Amino acid sequence: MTDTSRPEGDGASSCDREIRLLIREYIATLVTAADGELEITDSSPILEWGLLNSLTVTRLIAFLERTFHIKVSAADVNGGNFRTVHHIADLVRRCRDADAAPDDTRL
Amino acid sequence: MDFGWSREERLLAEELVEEIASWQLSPGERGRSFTAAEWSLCGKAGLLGWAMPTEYGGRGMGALSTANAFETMGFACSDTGLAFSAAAHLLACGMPIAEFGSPEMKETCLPRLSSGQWVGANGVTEEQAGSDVFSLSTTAERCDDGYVLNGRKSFVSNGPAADVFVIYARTDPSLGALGISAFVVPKGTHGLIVGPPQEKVGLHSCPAGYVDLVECRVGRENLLGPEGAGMSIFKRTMQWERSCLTAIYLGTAKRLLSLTSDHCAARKQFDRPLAQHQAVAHTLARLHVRLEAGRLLVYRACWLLDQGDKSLTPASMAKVSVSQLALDVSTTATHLFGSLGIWGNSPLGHSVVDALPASLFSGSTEMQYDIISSELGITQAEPIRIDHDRAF
Repeated sequence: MTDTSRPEGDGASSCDREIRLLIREYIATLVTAADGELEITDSSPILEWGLLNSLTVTRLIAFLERTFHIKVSAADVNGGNFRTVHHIADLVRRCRDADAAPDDTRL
Repeated sequence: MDFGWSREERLLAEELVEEIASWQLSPGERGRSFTAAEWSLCGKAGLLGWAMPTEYGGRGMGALSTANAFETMGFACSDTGLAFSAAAHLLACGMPIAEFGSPEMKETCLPRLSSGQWVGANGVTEEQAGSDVFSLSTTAERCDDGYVLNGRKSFVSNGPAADVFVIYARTDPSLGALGISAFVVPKGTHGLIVGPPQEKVGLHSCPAGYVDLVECRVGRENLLGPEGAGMSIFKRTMQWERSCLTAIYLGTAKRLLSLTSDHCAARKQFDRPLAQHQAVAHTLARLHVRLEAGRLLVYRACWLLDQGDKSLTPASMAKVSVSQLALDVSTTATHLFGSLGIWGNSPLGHSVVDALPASLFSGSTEMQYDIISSELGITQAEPIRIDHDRAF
């Protein structure tokens, strides 16, 4: 599986690319193509293609939380955040940033 | 690991047993829904807002305490339909609003729901979307100032009596389960048509019926959580229901086993009490073992829910175990009472029909095993045929 949706040098860090790769690889373990190899790119419309259903979304979220040490809130589990691998990677980044933000309530 | 309740929790449960027992309710009757007076009693006892935040009139308790309260209700109240109504109101309507609602939504709904001034209902199931709930066809199309809802919800528990509904509808058909959104729709909203109570087997005190949405216009402020978060909100609701509502049947099973043990100790056949017959004693002992196993599963699921765990498996395991236990205890109790068990308006007969829906509501037993096998990774990857023409 290679991502041809964005040219190299698009400004993405190697960390971002690694996040997207791990997400792509995990989604590929949840489904198999009925008619040959399943090509998932970072821009593939994974929800429109039906690659994630109510059961596999739960597994994907568990994977994201376990792999990237984040907490995904129930409100964040919506269509807007899971349209493509790019969207999921953005969500991972936001959750990481939120976890890393200083806690104002801490003394 | 501590398997005991704190002193405060024990006292709370004891007070609740006394309170509910004093209502002296009998098993529900066909064609008779709960009364306003009975609902008010549930509200005064705190049951309708047990897990809701205290600032909105609730008790602010977690899942463990909530399950304990509903187990207590199942034990002290033989009207399982009323207990079911109270739990569905709290867990499938009140809690989604408490956890995902806007401050205005909470301000408007939660004090009324927790006090019992309002009855809450949840509209997700449709004729063709039962176990496959996320295939629902009710739509919510965006309009200038909000959404227009169209569709029909069926088997809406509390529906005929409800003042407010949490309705699930599809906002983006292309996104599958993640294209579903939740809406808070008050009674009286133009286009919300609530049908009369439908006849059903068991849980008679809980009125249930159809809800039609015909060009039902709601504002953006009625959207519960973000657009497209309906599946996630519903799953959270199911975590609450499958653990805390299921606890009602722990209480019911405990009451029936106690009743049956007393009967088997007193009734003699062949010059000795029924309980002295090994076949009877072992039958009761086996059910006690299963009751304890079911209780451990329920309270472990609740503990995990309180810890913020998102896995659906613990609550699914609890529900599978206890829903089958409920049926087995009620049929065994009826059997051991002999003819008395089926005579007249026997409460044991009621317990059987009240147990029947337990393997269906909040997701059928088969769905629970689907969830468990998926989360455990037992289920293999499904072959999917992709229509690449649907790409962006």
